[in-house]
Amino acid sequence: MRVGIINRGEVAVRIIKSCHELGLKTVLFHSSSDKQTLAYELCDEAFELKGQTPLETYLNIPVIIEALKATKVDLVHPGFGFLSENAYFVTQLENNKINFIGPKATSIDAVGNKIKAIKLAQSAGVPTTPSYVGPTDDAKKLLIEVKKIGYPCMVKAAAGGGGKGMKRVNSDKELLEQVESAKREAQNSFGNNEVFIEKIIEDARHIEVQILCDKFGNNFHFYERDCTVQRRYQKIFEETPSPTLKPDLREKILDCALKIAKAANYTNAGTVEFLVEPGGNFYFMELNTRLQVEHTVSEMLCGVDFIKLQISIALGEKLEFKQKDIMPRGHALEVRIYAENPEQEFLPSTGDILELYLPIGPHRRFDFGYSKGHSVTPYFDPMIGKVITWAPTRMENLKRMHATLSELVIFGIYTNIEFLKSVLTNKKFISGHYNTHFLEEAYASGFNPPQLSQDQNEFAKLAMKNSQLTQSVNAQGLRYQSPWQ
Amino acid sequence: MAITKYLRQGSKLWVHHSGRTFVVEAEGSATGLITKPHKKKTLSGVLESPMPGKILKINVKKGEVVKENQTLCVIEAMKMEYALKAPFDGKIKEVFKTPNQLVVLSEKVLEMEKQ
Repeated sequence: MRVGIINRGEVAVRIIKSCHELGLKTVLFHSSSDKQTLAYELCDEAFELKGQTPLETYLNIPVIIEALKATKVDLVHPGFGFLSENAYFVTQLENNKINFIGPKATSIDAVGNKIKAIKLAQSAGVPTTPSYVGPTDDAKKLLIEVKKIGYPCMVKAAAGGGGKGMKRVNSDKELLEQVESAKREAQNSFGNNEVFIEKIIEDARHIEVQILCDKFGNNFHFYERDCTVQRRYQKIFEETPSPTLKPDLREKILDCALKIAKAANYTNAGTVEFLVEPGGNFYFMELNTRLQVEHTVSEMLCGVDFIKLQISIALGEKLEFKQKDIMPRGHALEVRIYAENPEQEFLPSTGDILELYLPIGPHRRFDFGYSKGHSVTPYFDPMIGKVITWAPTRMENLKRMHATLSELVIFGIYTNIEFLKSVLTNKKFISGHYNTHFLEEAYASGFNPPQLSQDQNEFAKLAMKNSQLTQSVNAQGLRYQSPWQ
Repeated sequence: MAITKYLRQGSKLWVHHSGRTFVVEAEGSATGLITKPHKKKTLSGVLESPMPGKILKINVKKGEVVKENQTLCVIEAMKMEYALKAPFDGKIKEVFKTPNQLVVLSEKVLEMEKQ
């Protein structure tokens, strides 16, 4: 059997690995600018989607459908982002008898669109946040409706995810501009400009539940993930179990996740997201009908391979285990490595990767889409990889992650590694008690990395000399820069 | 011994030592990289692209009077949007770019002047 992958970066690599373990051949559908990537090198066959922007390539449904037919692909894995939650695309696959590794088009339609999902949750008796889900074209009406919810609120793309197409609105002055901007981002990222407005729950944790459902009505959860540490609504740290969730509340949330799965008649992998207030109130946010970036921590916690299970389900196989067989063990943590500059407002950094050293060690997992010699282009998301660690306890795992990141070497592009390490040693983060505003508050005046040590200074001088970089050094000697300047 | 590596890239040296990656640059070197281009206080009123990307929208015309913090231009890179805002109250002196144009780091996009 042949599996088509319509994605790029680390998730394409992740899918290829599981396919190869199962003895399946992979066909990678990639943009013209993505030849210098690991997925391109590892796939069995590659098909170029001509162009560079997402709309020309990974979102170009007519071209992709023709290419899938021409390359005789049996199964399609969409990864995350791009077409992973596009009901129209899945319908086209169904019409062409190509098996989609994911939910049915009707399920995606029922919950992939966040507006419909809110309505579904309400019908299943699951609590939701106050929101406005009506038309956004009439400025006057919009201002009146949003006033009812109250500020601050959030404009969200109905088809959104990953922080794209999401804009915070603090007052009615900002509303129209932010709605317009969210619509454009939504159109560019998802090919759909429908947005809605939701009240921001200020003091909350972001808790989500991984679910997996076969075609025989067997629905399972794989416990929660805590993704409270976010920046601009983009997740950076994801861990499981949540450091603060009490057992009875956890049970309630896991139960609500399964209620949603049942109400949606859901199949394959999905994630039910909740906001949890300190008092224990929680609200359904959305059901993501795809495998998520942070699925890796649940894999580490429960000892499973979600890509393989997804393929089984797509092939119509029954999941031959019981909920009680899914045993959480220890603590798993993921950090996302972004090609960006934390000292300069986290702006993206592009260029050639001159060095990439992944420090192997016990219970360390590296999911990367690049290796040395590849280049990071400005056309797509700045995430270049993820580091995942496991340990018996959270405290031990935070230390393991810190040690791992201290040994990780990336030259040629600026990354957020030093920032991640700073968070790992932050007292509040270690305590586990914080909300989704933790990073904004802890780094209110930006991020300043610590001074270089004497050792580092001396080594740098020696390295300069060895690299024949001494002749232009003036009397004051060297000027040191942090990696992000 | 901890991981130790270094690599020269033009006038710049990437170093990893004692658990940390950092960059060193030779002072006064002719090919020195521009650092902190967008942290520079834009006293001159020249607004540069803070990153490589695409001009999505230009909200103003030459000669237009604008208020501090008004969004003048929207740039997109890696699927995220960034707004270039007016650093002070003033007038648009020149518009160098048009929508859909690609820009590299630190390209002039707009110029403003105080009235």
